[in-house]
Order: sequence, then C-alpha cells, then structure tokens
Amino acid sequence: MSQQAMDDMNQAEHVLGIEQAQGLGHALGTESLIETEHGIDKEKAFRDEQAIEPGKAFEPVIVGFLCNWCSYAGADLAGTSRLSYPTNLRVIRVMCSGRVDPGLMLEPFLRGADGVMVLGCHPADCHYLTGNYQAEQRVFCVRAVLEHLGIESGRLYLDWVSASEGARFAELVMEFAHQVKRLGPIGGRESREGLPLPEFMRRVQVAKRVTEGEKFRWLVGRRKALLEEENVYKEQLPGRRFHDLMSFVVVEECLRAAIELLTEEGPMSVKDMAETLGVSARKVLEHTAYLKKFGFLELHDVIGCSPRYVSLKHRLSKGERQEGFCLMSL
Amino acid sequence: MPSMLQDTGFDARIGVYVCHCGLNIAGVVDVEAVRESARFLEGVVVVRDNRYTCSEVGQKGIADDIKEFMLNRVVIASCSPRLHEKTFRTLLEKSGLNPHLLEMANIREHCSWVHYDNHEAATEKAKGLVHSSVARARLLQPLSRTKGRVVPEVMVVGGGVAGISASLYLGGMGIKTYLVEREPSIGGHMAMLDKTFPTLDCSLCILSPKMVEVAECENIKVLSYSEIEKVEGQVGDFRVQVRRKPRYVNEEKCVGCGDCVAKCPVKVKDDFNRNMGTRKAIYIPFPQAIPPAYVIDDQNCRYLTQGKCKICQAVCERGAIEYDQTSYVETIEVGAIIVATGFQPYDPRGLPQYGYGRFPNVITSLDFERLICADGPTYGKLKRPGDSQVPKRVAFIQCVGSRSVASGCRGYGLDAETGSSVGATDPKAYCSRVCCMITAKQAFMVKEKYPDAEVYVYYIDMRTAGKGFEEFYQRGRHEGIVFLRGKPGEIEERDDGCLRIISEDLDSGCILDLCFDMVVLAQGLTPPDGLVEFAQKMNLSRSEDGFLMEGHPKLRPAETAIDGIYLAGCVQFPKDIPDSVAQAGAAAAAAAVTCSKESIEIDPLGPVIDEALCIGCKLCEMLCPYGAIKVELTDKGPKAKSIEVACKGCGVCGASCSTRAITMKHYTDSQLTAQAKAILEVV
Repeated sequence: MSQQAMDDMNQAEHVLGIEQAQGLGHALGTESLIETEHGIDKEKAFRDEQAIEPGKAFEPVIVGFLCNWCSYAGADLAGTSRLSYPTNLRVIRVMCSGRVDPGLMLEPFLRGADGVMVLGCHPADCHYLTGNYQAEQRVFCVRAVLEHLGIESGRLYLDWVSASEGARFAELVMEFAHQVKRLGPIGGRESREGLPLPEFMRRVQVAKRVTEGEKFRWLVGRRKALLEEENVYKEQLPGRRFHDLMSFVVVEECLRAAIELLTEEGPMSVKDMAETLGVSARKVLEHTAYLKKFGFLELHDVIGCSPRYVSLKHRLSKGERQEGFCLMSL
Repeated sequence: MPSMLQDTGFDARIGVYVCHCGLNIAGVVDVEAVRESARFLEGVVVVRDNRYTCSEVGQKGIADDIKEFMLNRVVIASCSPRLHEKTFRTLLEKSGLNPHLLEMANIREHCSWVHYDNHEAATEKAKGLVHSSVARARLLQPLSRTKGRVVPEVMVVGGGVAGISASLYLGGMGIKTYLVEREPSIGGHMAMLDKTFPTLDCSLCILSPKMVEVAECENIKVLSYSEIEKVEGQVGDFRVQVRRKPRYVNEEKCVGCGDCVAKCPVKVKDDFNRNMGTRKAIYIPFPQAIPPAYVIDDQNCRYLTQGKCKICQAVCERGAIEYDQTSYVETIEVGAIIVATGFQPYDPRGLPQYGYGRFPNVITSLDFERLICADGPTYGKLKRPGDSQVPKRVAFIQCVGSRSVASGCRGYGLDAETGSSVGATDPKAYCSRVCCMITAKQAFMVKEKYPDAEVYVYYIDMRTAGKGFEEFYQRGRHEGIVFLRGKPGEIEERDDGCLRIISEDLDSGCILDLCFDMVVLAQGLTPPDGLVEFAQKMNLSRSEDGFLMEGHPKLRPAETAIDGIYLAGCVQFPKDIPDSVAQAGAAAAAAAVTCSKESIEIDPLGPVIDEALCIGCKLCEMLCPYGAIKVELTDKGPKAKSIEVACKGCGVCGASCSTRAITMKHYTDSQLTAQAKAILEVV
C-alpha cells in the first residue's frame, strides 16, 4: 500500500472518529432519554423562531403510535373534552407501545412524515406490565442511530399519557408539533439537517436496515437487563461499556447497510464506495468481503484492476441508480 | 356464501362507511369529500355515508351491503373503536363475516372534536385516517377466537357498605363470593358513623344486620384481615393471591366472650375511635364486628413484642389464642372481581392554617362521629378533646380539602422515590359530594342534643342534591343553625383554649370575629391509601382525581376498562351510602353476567412465529412479561413457541425479535406498515 493511501486511510478514520464523537457518542452519552426530550434549548429555539419568515409557516406532518389502553384512551378523552390541538398528528393504534418495532418507527419518515411520536402508559402503569419500558429502550437506541446518520433525533419522540390525561395529550401534541416545526421539514434547505430530500430518505433507509438487523435488535432487547441487572457473578455492566458497544455496533451496521444500499443501486468498486461514504477503503473492503462471503454481494465485473460488486437484490430488481448519494460525508 | 370470501385467497372487497354522527363529525369534516376520496382506493367496492352508522338503519345498510356486494372487509369511519368496535364486530358476525375483518377510523374523537377550528385540515386528516384504515383492512385476516373458561365465583375487595351490598346481591344469586377486607372486621367507614343523613338512622343499626347476613350467607366467605397481593389472568379466570395476616386468635374457636380483653395488660390508642379512646392489645374493633372474633395487635402485644405475658392464652377457656399464626398467601380463582376499597378521609394537617393536630379542639367530621356516638370514647357525650367540656359554641368549616382550585389537584403520578401517590395531603379540586350533608346532619345533632348550643356553619355553597336533602338542610336552618357564606382563612387558638375565627360573611358583607369552643372540619374524601399500588396490581387506570376510572363516565359507571373487574362505592368517586349501595348492585349484576357465561371468548392477538427465521435466541422469552413464549428444542433446533392461554397479545416479542421471525395477529408488521404508508397519502 502506498504512503498516500495510508495517509488517506488514516485521515478517513480520523474523520469517522470525530463523527463518532459528535454524532453517536453524543447521543449515547446522555443517560436518560426523557431528560433530553424535555431539555429544549431555549436559545436555539429563539433563533429558530426568528429564522421562520412570517406567512411561510411550515406545517409538519406527524405520525403517532398510541397504545390502546392509556395514550389512545387519553387521546379519546381529549376528543370528548373538545380540547383543540394542532391537526398535524395522525394516529395509529397499537395494543401496546411495546409493539412498535424500531423499523416501524422509521417507516413514516420514508413516507414523508416530519416527526414520529410513540406514546405509552406511564412507568409502572403499563397494561402489559413492561411494554412501555421496551418502547423506551427502542426509542433511545433508534435515536442514537439517527444521530449517527446526521438526522435530528428530536424527530422521534416518546412520552407517557394516561387514560385520564386528555389535556396532557393535547399539550404534548402541541409541544411536539412546535419542536418539529423548529427542526423544519425533512430534507431541503430549511431542514435542520440541511440534507437534500433523497439523501435524507437514503439515510432513513440505512437507519431502518440497521434497526432490522439482528445485532442491533439484540442489543436493544437486552439493554435494560444488561444495565439494570447483575450477572451470575454479581457484576453489573457499566453503562459506559454498553454505550461503547452500542456505538461500535451502530457505526459498523450503518456502514454495512450503506454498502448494501449502494450496491443494490448498481455495481461499485470498493474505492468508489469508500469515496462516496467518506470512510477508509479498508473498512469498506472488510464489510464487502463479509457481505460477499455470506452471499449478499457478488462480483459484477473488473474495470481496470478494481473489481466492482453488486448486490444480489440489484440483479433481481435492476433498479436504476440515482445520483447524489453522499452518506456520512457530511 | 359470504363467509367463503374471508379466505385470504380472495381479493379484498371493502365497504367504507363514513359516519356523520349527526353534526358531531359532519359539522367539521366534509363527510362527502372523505367518502369520495375512498371510492377509488384499491379493493374498495362500495362507499357510503350515514347520519348515524351505529343506528339500526345504519347497521342494516351495512348488513345489506355485505350480502349485495359480497363484502369481505368493512371500514367504518366514525367514533373511537374503544366505543363501538364491539357493536360493529357483532354486526359483522351476524352478517356472516369474521368479526376481525372490521377496521375503524377514528374521525370523531381524534379529528372532528379536536379540530373544530380548522374544517379544511380536519377533512384532510380524516381522509388520511380513512386511507390508512382501508390499507389495513386489505390485509386483515379472519381470526378464530379462543374460548377461555369461566370460574363462576366472584371476589369483592373491600368490606365497606358497598362491598357488603355487592356480596349480598351475589350471594343471593347463588354465586360463591369472597369478601376480602384489610381490617379485622368488615363494616368500613359506615361502621364508624353515628347517624346517617337525611333520615338520622343509626348507622350501625342499619349496617349490622347486613353484616350478620354476610356472615350467615353460605355463599359468602369473608376473608378479613387480608390484602390482595397479586392478580393474574383475565376475565372469567383470575388468579388472585390474597395475603392473610395473622389474627393470633382462631376465628372458629373464639366466641367473643371478652375474658381476654379484661385481663390484657396493654392499653393503646384506639384507632377505630380515631385515637381518642383506648383499647387493649387484644381487641375487637367494635362490638358488632364481623367476624366476631378478637385480634391481637402484634405491634403492641407484650408477648409478641417482648416474649412474655401470655395472659390471654391462660384466660381463654376455649384455647382460641394461637401465637404461632403467621401470615400466608392463599390463591383464589374467581371469574370476576369487584373493587370496593372505599376512600380515605382527607387529612387536614395538609392545611396548617386550620391547626388540626395542633389545637386539640379542632376536630374532623369523622372525629365528631366517634365523639357523638353512644359507643364512642365519650359514650355519646359531646366532650371536646381539649378539656372534656361540652362545647357551647361549635363551628363547622366546609370544603376542607375539597374544592381547593387554587392549590389544585396535583393529580396523577408517582413519587419517583417511594412509588407512592404524590401529595396525599394536597387539597383536591373536586367536590367530595357528601360533606355538606354530613355537616348539616352533625350541626343538627348538636342542636338536638344541646338545644342551647350555638352552631355556625362556614360554607362556600351548600350542595344538597338528593332525596330529602334540601328539606333536611332547611330544617336545620329553622332549628337555628347559622349558615355563613365564606371560608375562614385561619383559626387562632386563644390562651383559654377558645378558637377564634375571623371571616367575611359574603351575604352581609360584614367581617365577623367569632370565638368557638370547638371547630369541626368537614374533611373531604380522597382516594384510599395504597390505591396507586393496588391499581397497578389490578392493571386499572386512575382518573385525574386519583380515584379509579370507570369504563365509561355515563354508560359503564360500575365497570372498568378491564373486562371482569367492576367498581362499587367511593373508590370510583366520593358518593353517599345509597349511591354506593346502588353502584354495588350494578357491579354485582355485571359480575353475575360474567359468571353466568359458560365460556368467554378471548381475542386471539398472540404471536405468529416463523420457524424458518427463528434462531431460538430466547430474546422473546426473556422479554415476555407473562412467560407466554418459550424456546423449545425441536428437530430443527431450538424454536420459540407461544403459550396461547398465557399470552395477552401486547406484541413486545414481535417488536423485539432479533430476526424478525415473530409478528402479531391482528397487528401484523405488514398491517402496521401499510397503515403508516397510507396515513400520509393525503397531506
């Protein structure tokens, strides 16, 4: 390997390292999800209010997953009490907030939603005993993935509403609609992320793949137990270690998902992928080799001396490649 | 045959019905536009709008359409499914369709009622909700309900007048009933009252025959001195763990002769008499107690605390004293549960300006009941606690702990540290309903016993809505009770023990500066101690005021959101004795309906496990709160298996499965995804 290539690689790793620290590490550094939810940056909010031009108000679209027993009933009570709240929210009923799959939380974004709410019963009040705690773990981890991918995690919101809290429900919807308004629409210049819409969607797609992956789901499922319970040796996993592990998994899984997506769109060489994704060629090669070994990728052709890989799914769909994929090179 | 079409091999034929609900929906949402937007959606065969879809005409229209258009899916855009899902499912069933092929779009509670100020956006939202429902309906699968067994027995929790009445109704119907009471005797707060309003019946004289009836009814088993530890199962088949606290006295052997009490050397404050009198460490709460057996107070018994004494055992001729009793848990299977755990009087120490607890002559209305009761610590003489003198001037202050909007109702929530309810002594926003009449009664009783006494009542409003209430209140006025409109800000104690109240009389506009020998605070009614934990055990919701929430405020006042659990008495909201008894009757009838069924249909919402994808990682097994999914070794390796009877259908396993091998019936991944996609079709 030439000295030049080595330098490039180091630099790329360095960049990734910084990003990890800023994006993912930051997201995971905060212990309590609820705290971050309510800790609204006042100064930032003020700046944003100033930035919105009068008369050009952006009305966000929000999809809410509400549990049947508490929050859906609370929303019904808001209705019977005639408490007006913004029309932005559309509700999907589930039996328990614990039913909301991490992938399902991201689905609405792919359909153009600007924000997603998951509402469950108050802690210790869950109709199914612990479903809301699971929802909490999932939202926490999905937000970490979003942060890593440069998407505002404030677009995904979790809170508790009891069957008697119609007024609280209306208030939460209003608050969240405001919060999403400040974040702007998904994609485009006005969005907080500043990503073009297709790029935003791709990143959500990457996130969705990660949340559908085995490693991620296992960690999410075990998070509560690992952090709160002792193992047979009466040892408890330190929170920091779990977070490091989670950060590592998120970084790796995001990269792999991104490679999968790229090669689904058309054949690509490792070098091109590394360039597009802004990570080291070695990293990409590692994942490409893995994906090839397990039959997700195949060798398409060799141009010059670089082999190009393509996803098996591509051969099946022959989908056309779209321009402007610049994942992680933010 | 329409039922043939349910087979998923056939294409969906969907009927969409958009309800006007009079003007409830149509007044805000453009119903025709919503209807038309659904017309050309995939699979939709017929779209209609109805004035009232739930009416007989509306329902018949749907039934006819199912036949005529061979519909195999029905989408109804109307009110909340929590209200009418059952109605329409029954309709589908009658029309030969599987009840699970119904989908409802909630365009009333979630749309027209909350977006009345923006008709256009509400219409667009309603369209989105209908599209989402149609998308889900396309993927709905017919499900067969499983049948659960019904244990034809009922548990009544709480032995106050509501619990007693419910038990008697049930026992009278021949239904085996367990009456669980936390205290050593049933009777509840009613047993502590002297008289009842407005008839001035002696409270215990009318209650104790009912208590005796309970004891004699062969269908009722009283589990006194017991508490609910855990509740499992569902309607028709609850398993309740009841902790039986030790009485140290054998209930069967004790005849209540009282020899033990006479000899017991330990005297303690009598909590039944509101700590104003004394009782022994072995005691019976009141003479008419049921079960009529003594109980040893293990906190104060000399033998149980210090290891020597045993006098009661020595004097008991029947050998009923058993020091070696320990608490144990009994598991009881019942088909329905009635919750009648009553209330707790508001503790006025939360309002220090009235000096309760500091000034001996400031008492509460319940203290007053004990003082004036012939069985009370003063044998019916109204002696004020400070110096045992009979007061000549008595003031009553209304709404102590109730209707305090300024302090407000802290409402719902748990203390993060202790897990107990927040602000038990915070004044409440609601009206406790009974205090006006309690005060009217007590003021009348003072006048009756001591015609020369001066009686003043400080009130905000006198609320005397009830049969004979207003007449009783007017009678009190004629007897010379002075009613002053205005709530005193503070009570001061003078050196001679008299209590000075300065307040404004709103009717005359005068400032009144009066002194009294005794002040009675009309304490409000608050949720009973430990209701938060109890509600969690039973999975019940509480209203903002902290009481248990009824199934529907108008139409299901004695039911809860949980099938098979019913409410009676003050645990739902403060109410007087006749209302408690009436609600007990309603709860008993509802419980009897459950018990009269041979089996109960349970919604089949369990998981569907794709064995090809399952890797037996046990994540689902670890996360399932009910132990309803287990990994078993099969010939293809370890695979998850659902245990249908234990499953409640929450879906935690489905959403957690590491290989996404699990989906839930009726809330499948594809249904929810389709909904999430379609809900934003119209923006």
